[in-house]
Amino acid sequence: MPDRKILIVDDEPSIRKLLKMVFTTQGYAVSVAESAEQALQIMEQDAYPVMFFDVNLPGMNGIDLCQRAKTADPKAIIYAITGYTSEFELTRCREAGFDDYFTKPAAMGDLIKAAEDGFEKNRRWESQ
Amino acid sequence: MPNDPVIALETRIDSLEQNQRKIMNALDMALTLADFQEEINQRFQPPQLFAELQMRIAKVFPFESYAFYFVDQESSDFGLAICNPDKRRRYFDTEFKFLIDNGFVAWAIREKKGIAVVTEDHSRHLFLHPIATQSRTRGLFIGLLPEKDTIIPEISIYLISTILRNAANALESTEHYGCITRGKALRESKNRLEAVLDSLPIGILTADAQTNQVLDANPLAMSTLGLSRDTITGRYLTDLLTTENTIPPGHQKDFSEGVLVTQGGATLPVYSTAISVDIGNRRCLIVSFLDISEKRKLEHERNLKEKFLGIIELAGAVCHELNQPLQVVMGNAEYMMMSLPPDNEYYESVKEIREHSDKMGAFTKKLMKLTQYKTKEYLGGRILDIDLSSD
Repeated sequence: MPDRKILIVDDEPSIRKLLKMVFTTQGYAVSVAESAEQALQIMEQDAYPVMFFDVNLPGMNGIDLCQRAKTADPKAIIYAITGYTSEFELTRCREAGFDDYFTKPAAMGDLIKAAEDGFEKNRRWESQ
Repeated sequence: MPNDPVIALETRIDSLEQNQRKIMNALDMALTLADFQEEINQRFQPPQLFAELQMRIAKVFPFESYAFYFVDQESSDFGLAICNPDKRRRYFDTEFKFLIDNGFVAWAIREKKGIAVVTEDHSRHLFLHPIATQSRTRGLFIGLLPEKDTIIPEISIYLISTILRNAANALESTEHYGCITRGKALRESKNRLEAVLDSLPIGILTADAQTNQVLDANPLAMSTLGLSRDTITGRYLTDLLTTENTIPPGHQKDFSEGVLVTQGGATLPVYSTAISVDIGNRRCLIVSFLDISEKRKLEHERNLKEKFLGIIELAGAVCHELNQPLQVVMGNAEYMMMSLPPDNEYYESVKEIREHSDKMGAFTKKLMKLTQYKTKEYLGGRILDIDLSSD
């Protein structure tokens, strides 16, 4: 199912492994990247309707990555996921174009629901 | 015609007219010599007044030499102030003692009149006259008559008497004016000092250094302590301000921290300083204090703010480091629960892991929402109250 592709970007290998496992079980095609730079290369190769970015990444951070991704594909649904939140960071995430925000530790059920919602939104966009 | 009654009458009239002129001249002279109004108006100082006085007496009678004795206002003793010529000081002092011993000075002062007396050796004649106002004796004039003279004309005595009395009055007037001027200057100075003390942003208490009782206070001290001038007077300094107040005379205590106790029993932190000074014949302590309660409050708030910022930074670091592994533990437990049937032997254990990692997640989320610094008691000390400190 080429439409159900998800990109996970997180510098923590255990989290990449976990999310890939969970979303794969749910029937998604999951790609992972450990940095923003690697994610940009992957996005050049293929389109991802739903993406989960860790905000605090080494090198380019998740916020800048989101701006780049939204510029390339405005319809993409991108979720922020991070270990620490502040009002300032929330505002920056909203300005960067993130569609929603999850704080670690996030429930897998919530992330699965978010992915489903994202694909549903994307489907509506596509059908217009 | 020597026996001509008309000529005799004309001669008599001439004589009377001459007498009248002499009398008029004498009156005019008396008025001029006795008038010190101009000197008063010009605020003559005593030395200028005495110089003028000597000049006028010399116009009335040519004393060979003379001396002025003045009463010392503190001791009430007579002292030789002016002697002309100066080399005759000892001579006049000797004669003055003679005049005192024989009661001439006392008589002249009592009667407020001049008296001509012979010198101690009976060779010469002296003229003694008090320099006095109606109420106060200021001094004595003693003049030595020329060798050829044994008496002073009556009119001269009258004129000298008038001159000396008016000179005494002029001296008094000048002194009174000086007192009034100094009094006015003192009042103005007092008003200025009071205005300064009243407007100072520090409280000032004056206390008796021996008894430690308050004598006076400025308005800020009274309002800070909640006491009126009547109620603050007599209070013990140590009851109002708990700081070291005993300092050696003439010494000063630099600013130190103390506590002020108000009428209502409230305590205020203050910076205080004290100095020991003599006011009149009394050794006093002047204690000044500055209310630093607002400064303390701001310092406390700043400390809390700094402490809170430190906690926020620590909480951020803790959350960042803890939430990553927590995500892995919680996510994997959840994944296993999704994968295992509920009757699997590991299901409950995995569920336990999931539930407790949930609790830990809830805790770190609270840490991320800290908005204030609230503590609670813990094992005899105090720790941050996460529930009260977070939104």
